[in-house]
Amino acid sequence: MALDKDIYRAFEDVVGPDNISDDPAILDSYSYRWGPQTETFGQRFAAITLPKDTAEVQAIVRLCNKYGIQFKASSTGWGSMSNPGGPEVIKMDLRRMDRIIEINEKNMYAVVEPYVISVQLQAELMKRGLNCNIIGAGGNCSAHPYAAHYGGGHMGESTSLRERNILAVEWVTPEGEIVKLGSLGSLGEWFCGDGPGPSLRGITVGHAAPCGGIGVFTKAATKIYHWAGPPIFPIEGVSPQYAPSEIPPNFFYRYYSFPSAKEMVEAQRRIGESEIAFEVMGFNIAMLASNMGTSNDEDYAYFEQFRKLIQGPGFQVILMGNSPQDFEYKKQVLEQIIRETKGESLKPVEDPKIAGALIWRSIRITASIRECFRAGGAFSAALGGTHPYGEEVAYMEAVSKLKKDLIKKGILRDDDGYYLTWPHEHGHLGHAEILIQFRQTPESIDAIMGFSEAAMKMAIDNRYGVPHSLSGMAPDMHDMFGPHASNYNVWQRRLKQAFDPNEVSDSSGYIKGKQQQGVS
Amino acid sequence: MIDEKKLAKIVGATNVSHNPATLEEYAGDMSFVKPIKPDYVVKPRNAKDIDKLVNLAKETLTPLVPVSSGAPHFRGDTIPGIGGAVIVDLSDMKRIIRVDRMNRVAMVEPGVTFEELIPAVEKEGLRLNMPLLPRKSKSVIGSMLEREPVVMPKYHWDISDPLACVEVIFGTGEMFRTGAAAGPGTIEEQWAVGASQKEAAGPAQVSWHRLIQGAQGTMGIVTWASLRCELLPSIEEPFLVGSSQLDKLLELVHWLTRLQLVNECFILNNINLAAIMAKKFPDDYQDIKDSLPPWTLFFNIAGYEYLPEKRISYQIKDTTDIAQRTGLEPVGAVSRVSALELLKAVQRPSKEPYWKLRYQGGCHDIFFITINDKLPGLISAMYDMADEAGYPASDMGIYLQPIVQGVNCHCEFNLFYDPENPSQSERVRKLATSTINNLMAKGAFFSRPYGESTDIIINRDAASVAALKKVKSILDPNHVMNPGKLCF
Repeated sequence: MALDKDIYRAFEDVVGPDNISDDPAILDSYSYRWGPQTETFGQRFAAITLPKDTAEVQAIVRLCNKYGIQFKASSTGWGSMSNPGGPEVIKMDLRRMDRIIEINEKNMYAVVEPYVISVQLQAELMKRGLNCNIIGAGGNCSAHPYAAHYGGGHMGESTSLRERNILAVEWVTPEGEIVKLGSLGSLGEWFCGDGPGPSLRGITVGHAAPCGGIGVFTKAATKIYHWAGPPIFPIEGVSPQYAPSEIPPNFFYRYYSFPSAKEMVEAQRRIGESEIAFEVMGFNIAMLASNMGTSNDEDYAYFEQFRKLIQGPGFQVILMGNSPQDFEYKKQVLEQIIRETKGESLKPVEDPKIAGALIWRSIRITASIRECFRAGGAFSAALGGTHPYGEEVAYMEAVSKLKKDLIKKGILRDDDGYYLTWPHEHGHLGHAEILIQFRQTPESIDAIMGFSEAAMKMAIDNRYGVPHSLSGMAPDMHDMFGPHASNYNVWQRRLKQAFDPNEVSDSSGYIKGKQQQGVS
Repeated sequence: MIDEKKLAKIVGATNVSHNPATLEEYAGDMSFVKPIKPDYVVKPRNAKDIDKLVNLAKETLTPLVPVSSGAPHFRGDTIPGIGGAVIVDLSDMKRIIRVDRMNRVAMVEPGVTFEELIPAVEKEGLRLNMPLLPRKSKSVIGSMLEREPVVMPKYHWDISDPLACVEVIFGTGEMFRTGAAAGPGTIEEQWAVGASQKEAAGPAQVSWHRLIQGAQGTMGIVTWASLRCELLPSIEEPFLVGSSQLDKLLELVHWLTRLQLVNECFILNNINLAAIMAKKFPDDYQDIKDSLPPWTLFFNIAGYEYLPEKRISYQIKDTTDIAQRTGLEPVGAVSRVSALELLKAVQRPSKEPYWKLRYQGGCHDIFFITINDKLPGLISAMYDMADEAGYPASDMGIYLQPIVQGVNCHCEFNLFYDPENPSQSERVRKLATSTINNLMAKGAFFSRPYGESTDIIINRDAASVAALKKVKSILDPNHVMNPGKLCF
């Protein structure tokens, strides 16, 4: 729905005429959808704005309150949570806010604006012997710790999760107040996000990000970690064939498969407890094949090759030694664990050229698009919680049966129905996920919606926890889960109402201020 | 005044007291916070009792002050902020509900102390990441809710660690379970499918545990909490590094924490190290203090299940190489202090009397979070201010604890004094409040404000105060939970 001319002009006064548009072509470019929807283009925004800084974001939020218009802010905007929840929503595309504000090497944190992407930040960090968490969606996505649906990624074992890496934050609330969390509010310093007293980090992010539902996070500090690799990866070749020419010193790559999920998870647990891994990523072989293949043909060829060589489910491991002796120790422990848990290495990927490329792509996280989209053009996932051993595996085993049914019907790409599990923080936490790839057809969409609903129902009925995938995609799902989980929907709604009384921060990825009729 | 019979009906007559001597015990503590006598002290037996107490308080608008640790208290947060309060003493709730080796997590009630929990987790091959020498009566939950710094920065990924999930009765009288514990299902049903109440964040897009931590009991009363545990090492090799140059020690700490090479890791000045290690006061204390360098770094290298000797061996080499680059030498003993003896001490609660009280009988702590770069300036400023106030620098203990994997440092000035000496007490009291602004100007972030300094600290940031008040209005709209604390 087009904005009234006066209202449009008010927003234009804030950002300037070059940074606002309601041109249908521009609006359509923001309404493209790749998930389980039959229509490729969804609801249009009323207008697109490109604020350049916090002051402009604040001014837009205040105008939204004044005119009763909703806003949806996003950065790199990868998922459906970036879409508008209705016709009277304006977009705040934060692409002009793209500065790395600070890299504090000595105190191990970086401060970023929303449109700094992860590979940018990581490249700057690597020059300084440092590294950052990158979400599984890829290095092309924002490095801002709030700009993710679920903040886990391949390097979670050594770089934790986004929610747990957050330090100080600058937050424009839905009412247009600027709140500076932690040491930023007291001192103007970025090193701590908690206090004085209770931590306001609590109301801004949970095990999933707020997905635009509680204001705009204009700057944030995030923890960074040690990097023992080269300052720049030695890349050769031309896209899509480019790869490093060698495995960096003190790096090691293997893909292991196991007789069953039981041994696989046990191996992950032992690797976590021995604190040896830089990365443990629970790729199934279909994802590994997609990561390596530069076309669907190559992808399927690798998959067919690998499925004959594996025993069962598996994962990839990257070791990084901080010193030669550290590296040798880690390798020896890994070998022992794999032996004890009956793991077998996938021989073709031991080739240093292949392993070197996999190391590079799995650290820079450059292959997520291949892994998720290339086979069918669309993907979806059922995401579990963060308990790595026991509950999550049981949940994934159960959902895997649903997935296999759809594979049999020819609706999903056949990847043998595998799921992914991988640990964070040396196995203290973890993540489980079941990825499905498909082509967007009315038949497949219906089946996939049924799959998602069944997976959610299973989580409730079998006590598998509140899945990460719940947040960000379907606000009404909170009212389905909440009554089974401490009525959290009631409490989250109270926060929403207190901090966004005019409901201007689009709740389509959060919880709505008012409960919809008929949902309980 | 609330009806005693109603309280007795909830917790049993023997668990309600308005004995003047008992009330007096809870009216004040070792801080400089003005004493206010409560009307009653009640000791709930379980979560149901707490639920009923909070609901009764809500109906009668009676202030409740939750207390989980035993005396002595030091910060004034358990002293009623207003008259007519009921102290909810949780120290009798002592169940260790579960220790889960596989998921490295334990679950306890608020009255469980470190001394009680340590053997229970050790039986399962686990250990706690605990504060430096907590007093014997210190509650594990109390410590975590106050975001006390812990001695192993390597395992302190987030400032909220090691707290995992909690069950809380909010000031509204409603029960809530945070994080993975929220549900679906009862805790027992969750265990049955392999869940462990370990993920702290959530459910969904809010991290409720962060709003309960640091709140000094102003949001609700926690009935149990789960916490992360770490593996018990199979072998350990502790080291000390003495130096007069703090900047060099901080450089070494940076690399030890950055490379995650060491478990326990902290710096003490000679006063604190002597206060911890001395067996006889004052002679032994004085001798040790005089023999020590101004600063001592302590760190510990550990091996676990796999190739522990090999791990210890190469990590010693790596730490030694780093130390040499900074011109320092890790050793097994500095003067009369042995690293092994210190390791044994810090893996347990303080022996009695509490280490902070051994020297002069009283201690007031000024503590904040900062970053390593700012420490030398802050310490220098504190010495100057102590000097100006007439407080002898030779009596000021300093404890520097890297936290959040070395991203932050907890800095603590321990002002030892004789509480029976009015002029000494007054000098320390004045020093405690007069230093705050100056320290903040130099980069001290007082993330956990207590007592008389609270307003100076919290009023610096009106926007955060307004946001916190909104949260308070949701979780405790009737202001029955520990009123008068923080900005509430």
